[in-house]
Amino acid sequence: MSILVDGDTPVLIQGITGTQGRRHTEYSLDYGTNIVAGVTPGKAGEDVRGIPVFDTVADAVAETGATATVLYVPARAVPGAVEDAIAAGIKLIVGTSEGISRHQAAYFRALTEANGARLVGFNTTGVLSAGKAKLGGIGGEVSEFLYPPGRIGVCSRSGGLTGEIGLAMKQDGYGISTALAMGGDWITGTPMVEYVRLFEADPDTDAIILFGEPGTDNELEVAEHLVAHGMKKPVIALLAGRFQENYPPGISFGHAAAMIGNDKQTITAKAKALTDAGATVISTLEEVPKMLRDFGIEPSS
Amino acid sequence: MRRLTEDETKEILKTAGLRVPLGEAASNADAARTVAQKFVGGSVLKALVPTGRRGKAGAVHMIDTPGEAAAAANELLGKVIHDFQVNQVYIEERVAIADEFYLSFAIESYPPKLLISERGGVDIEETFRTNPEAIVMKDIDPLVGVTADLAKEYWREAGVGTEHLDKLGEITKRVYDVFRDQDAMTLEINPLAVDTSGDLQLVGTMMALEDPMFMHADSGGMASLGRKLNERERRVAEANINLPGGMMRYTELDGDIGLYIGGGGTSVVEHDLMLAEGGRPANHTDSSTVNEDKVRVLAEAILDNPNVRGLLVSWHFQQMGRIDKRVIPVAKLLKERNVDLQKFPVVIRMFGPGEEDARKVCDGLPGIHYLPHAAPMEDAVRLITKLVKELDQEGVIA
Repeated sequence: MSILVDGDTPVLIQGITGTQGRRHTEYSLDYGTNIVAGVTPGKAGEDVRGIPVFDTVADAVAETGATATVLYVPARAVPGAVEDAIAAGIKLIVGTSEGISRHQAAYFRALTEANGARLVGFNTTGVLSAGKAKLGGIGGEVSEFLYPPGRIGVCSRSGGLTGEIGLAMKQDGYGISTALAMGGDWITGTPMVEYVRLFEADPDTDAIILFGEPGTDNELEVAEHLVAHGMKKPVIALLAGRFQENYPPGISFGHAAAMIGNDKQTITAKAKALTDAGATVISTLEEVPKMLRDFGIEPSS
Repeated sequence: MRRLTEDETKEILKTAGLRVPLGEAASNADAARTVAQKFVGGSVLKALVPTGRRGKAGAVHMIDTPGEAAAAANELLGKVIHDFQVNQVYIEERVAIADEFYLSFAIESYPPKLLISERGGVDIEETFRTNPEAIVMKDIDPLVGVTADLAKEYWREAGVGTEHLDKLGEITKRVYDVFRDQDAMTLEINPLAVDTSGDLQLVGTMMALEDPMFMHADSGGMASLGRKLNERERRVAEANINLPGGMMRYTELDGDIGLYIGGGGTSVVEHDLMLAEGGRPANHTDSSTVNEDKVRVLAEAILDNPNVRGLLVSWHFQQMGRIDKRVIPVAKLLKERNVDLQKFPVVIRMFGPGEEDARKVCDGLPGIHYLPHAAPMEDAVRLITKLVKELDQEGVIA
């Protein structure tokens, strides 16, 4: 098991014949992802490494039964691509584009929620279930190196940090069940707390690692969830960006969302909320495997 | 976030068919006088700066004669109001107000929110503190938006009588549509006024847009920084506009360790750790570009900072991007400038595709510290912090 995607999930690639779509499709196929179809309007009948290309998402889903999709379409085509996927009954959408406005993101989130679907992103490098499948660019050419299979779930607001967490855990023999970058924007299709719920329910995940930054209510919502519902698994939150509190508010140092919005969204406030809620808050990567050991979690190798 | 000035906001609202007072901007006293002459019923003259609470700052004048307009313009032009220099004033017709309301929209997190009050024209934050029950806040469903009927219901809840409900409902819907279509972060109408003929006018308006650029070189500085960009920061900002490839950010701080770090989350983890270790960053930076000319501009800015005594080059382990394109321009620059790496320590932690090529070039720079493949991020931050501290002990000044 894993969350969101496993080796059997039939995956569609929207924008499969573009440069980025083609390149990431190849990496994902090499990784073992069950890609069943691609969509590029006007290119029906072509194929990308044997994967059939369709004109519309509806055709692709009808022919292949795809349930998940990754979007590699130009920014202007994003709204239509999301709507097409939802209309065709797709249940998981991975949105890689940068520069999606808050209003668009809010619309996509409402649309996917109303249709019982999930949107990861936008501005995400994707989701990887170790040894099974990956959606998006996550892992690139070094997936096996950074994300060895194991029983730890990772949800990060930064794509690059997702890999660094994998690397830090690997030094001590820990591996990944599923690792995902939720997207660095102010509004994402799925909030962090939802991934925490999924990891908690996943029998093959023993502990949950989160990476949080200043800005957004994501980490606070996780804290509220832990207080309200308790948690059976260790939650280890690596929180970074405390340095921003030394500087005037409103300066953006990192992702669009990593900007001090208000006093509740600082790292100091988030660390307190999560600690009070029973999570373990750390500030360096080297503490990740150390905490896993302290919780008595067995390494995978 | 980019706050628009009043004339920009009102132009957008007017184009959307909403009623705003007639007005014009002026950049000197004579022009202000000429504009004021057009408004026989009197006018209001305001400093044209993208900030609220101008009234309290003395930047709003009631004008009865063109001469008063010229005098007020003379007084305001050149002044600094809430950190913004006044280069223009805005003169608009004075609206005879019979009743006033408050309306605003904001999208910070999910979902977007509507805020209304039947008490317009006053400081809304003050109202929040003293009379929170006078404010109605509603979540907006992005799939539905704000319909006129929904808006009427909200205004009724806010205590507004039947007389203005229909018009308020219609205008609220249309203002929401502008808010959404402009990708605004906030749009505030205060006051939303009923004039003496019973028409609704958007008298006070404030709008902020999402900023697709991290900083605008052409805006005369990064307003959110609370200061103007210095010469090096400006060069980086200009390169964002003049050269292709991803964006770069460069913000100088008062320390002595130059940071060429990146990758969103990674750069903040490293910065936090450096402070915890007692190191003092000379700057923060983040960038997504692999354009070698742009990388060079950024590296030059970091090295040109007179306070810099050492350099950390450390990104997250690259999964897709090529690191040689980021490392080689920096190595070339160090070589060109004959930087003495004994006196100016440089630590590199760059792994991923292109690493071999990057290492080959760095091998030609004796004394450079390129960490072994897959070494922990903490090692890089601790090493550069230690090396720069050792300069103090040895009394070496870069």
